[in-house]
Amino acid sequence: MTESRNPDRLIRAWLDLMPSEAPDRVVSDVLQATETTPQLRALPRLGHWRFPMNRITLIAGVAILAILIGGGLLLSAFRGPSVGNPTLAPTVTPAAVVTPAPTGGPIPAPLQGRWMGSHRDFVSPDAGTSLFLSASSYSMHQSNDNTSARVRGDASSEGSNLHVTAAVGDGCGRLTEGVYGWSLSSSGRVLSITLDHDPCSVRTRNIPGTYWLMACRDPGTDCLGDLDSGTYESQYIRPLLPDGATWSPRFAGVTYTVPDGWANFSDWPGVLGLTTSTDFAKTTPSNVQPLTQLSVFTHATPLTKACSADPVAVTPSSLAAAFTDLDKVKGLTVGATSSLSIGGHQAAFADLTFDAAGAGACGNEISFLKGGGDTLSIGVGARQRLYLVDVGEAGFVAIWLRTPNGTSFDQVVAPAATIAESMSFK
Amino acid sequence: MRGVVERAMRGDREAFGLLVNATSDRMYAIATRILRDADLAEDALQSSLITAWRELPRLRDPDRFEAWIRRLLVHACYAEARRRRQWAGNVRVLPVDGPAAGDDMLSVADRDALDRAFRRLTVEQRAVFVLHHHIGLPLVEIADTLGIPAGTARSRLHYATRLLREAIEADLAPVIPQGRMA
Repeated sequence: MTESRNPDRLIRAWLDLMPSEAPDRVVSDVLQATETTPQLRALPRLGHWRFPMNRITLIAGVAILAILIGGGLLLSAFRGPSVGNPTLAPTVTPAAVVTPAPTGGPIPAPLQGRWMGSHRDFVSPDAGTSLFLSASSYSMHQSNDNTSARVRGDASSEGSNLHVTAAVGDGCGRLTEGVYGWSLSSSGRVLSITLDHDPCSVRTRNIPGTYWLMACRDPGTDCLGDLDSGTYESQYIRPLLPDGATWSPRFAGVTYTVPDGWANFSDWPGVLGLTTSTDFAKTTPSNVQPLTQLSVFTHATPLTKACSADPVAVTPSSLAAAFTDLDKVKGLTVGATSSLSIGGHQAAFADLTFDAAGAGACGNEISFLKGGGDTLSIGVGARQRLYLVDVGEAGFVAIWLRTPNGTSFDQVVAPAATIAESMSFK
Repeated sequence: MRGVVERAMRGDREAFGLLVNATSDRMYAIATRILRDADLAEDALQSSLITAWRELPRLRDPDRFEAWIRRLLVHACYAEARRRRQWAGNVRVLPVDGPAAGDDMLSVADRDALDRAFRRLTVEQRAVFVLHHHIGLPLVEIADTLGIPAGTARSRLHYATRLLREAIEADLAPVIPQGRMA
């Protein structure tokens, strides 16, 4: 082989073929956008914060704070418990806590945003939908294609009703108006829309339902963010899709039930990520990975070659064989395995720790499993739990509890186990 | 650079314009290579720069501006890729009319083999591959930029590199005449 046919040189030459100059139009659009885009305020540096306060202002401040806290407690006592077990059944009617706008007014601010809904008949088979509400319009999209509205029109609010007209895509013309009732959970995260009356059948089939607020840390990433306790469905992950098959979105690939204090931080074709609300609060738009996570990975395969991220050549034939393979990974200590059933599939789990002596030259972090296009690793001091679920033709699904240290593991393992064991796959 | 970043952090649009001019070509080069689609790359660049403007006051260390904005860009690429699902196979391959298009080292078959192999990578694997092979970032810096463990960055790079090498090596392998295979 001549030097010019060296594969690495060819790859670099191939990478160099792509354009490397940003179009002027994009740059000028960005600079124009800054004229109307406010900057976020810097986070306060509490260590240097001082507030000049004399005795009178201190007493007044404490009194005001006490009134606010007392009032808040009283209000929350009257408000009752937050919504539980959100489901896709249209019968869910969480208590409305937002004061509706007067007749013909704008859509109330807490309703404005992006909401995740189940499958509708105007999108690809099995795909989920998203609903955008602005002050004066609504639009519905396939969940992974937000630039192309399938149904779109004007919207206004009257009492607790939502009026929709002038739809694109419903075939009913501008003059037909539909009226729907809405209610929002006390957390503001679960929106329920019910049909009042609407002569347009496309809208009556598609608008009613329960929607979850999409509040990912990175707004470009389609996940839910903080969750109320209840049962939820994923938008993208396909745990039962055979490896190598063409992916398309499927709503409810994974169904899971969480208690209070959990969040959904990612949803990808091969990975679904949950974390605690505490850890989710520490993530940022540019750093979306929480330290603690309970994540689901498709097509899980042990990595048995020493210090290597190469999967074994053949996927293990059984759960027992998979854990035996994991036990061979240098630097990984696999605890006793326990069998169980998850979503009607045979499953097993074991707790994992890092064995520095066994890792030897592999270093302070070793990879042990590949799944969902990602690689699972463990490092010094970490404790983890790994569930493997045998999903037949699609191989193994991994459910991985990762924590930064033993203390965190002890704190979250019980609720995480309950969540993992609540899962079902489609 | 630090002074300009600090001015932009305080809301100075002219300073931000200088930063955009200094970084946008490099960012666009990364985005086009990860996404393999000019329109998606423009959207990712635009979205990440606007996010950068909004979030700049919260940047803790002005000296890390470039790594920070690179991370915003890669996350914008993730979002764009998923919106269009281009790695599912329906990619619109960029026309190869760049400055190196005349390089006779690469045949049409090479480019086709690499394009097809690249489409089989996840967007996360592509990001690590591009940051390493095109920008020349070391793995530790890539892991830091993307907020992933070093082991994960290593495995993504390993997998992507191996797949592309295999693609090109298969293309280079001598053709066995029909009917002569065992």
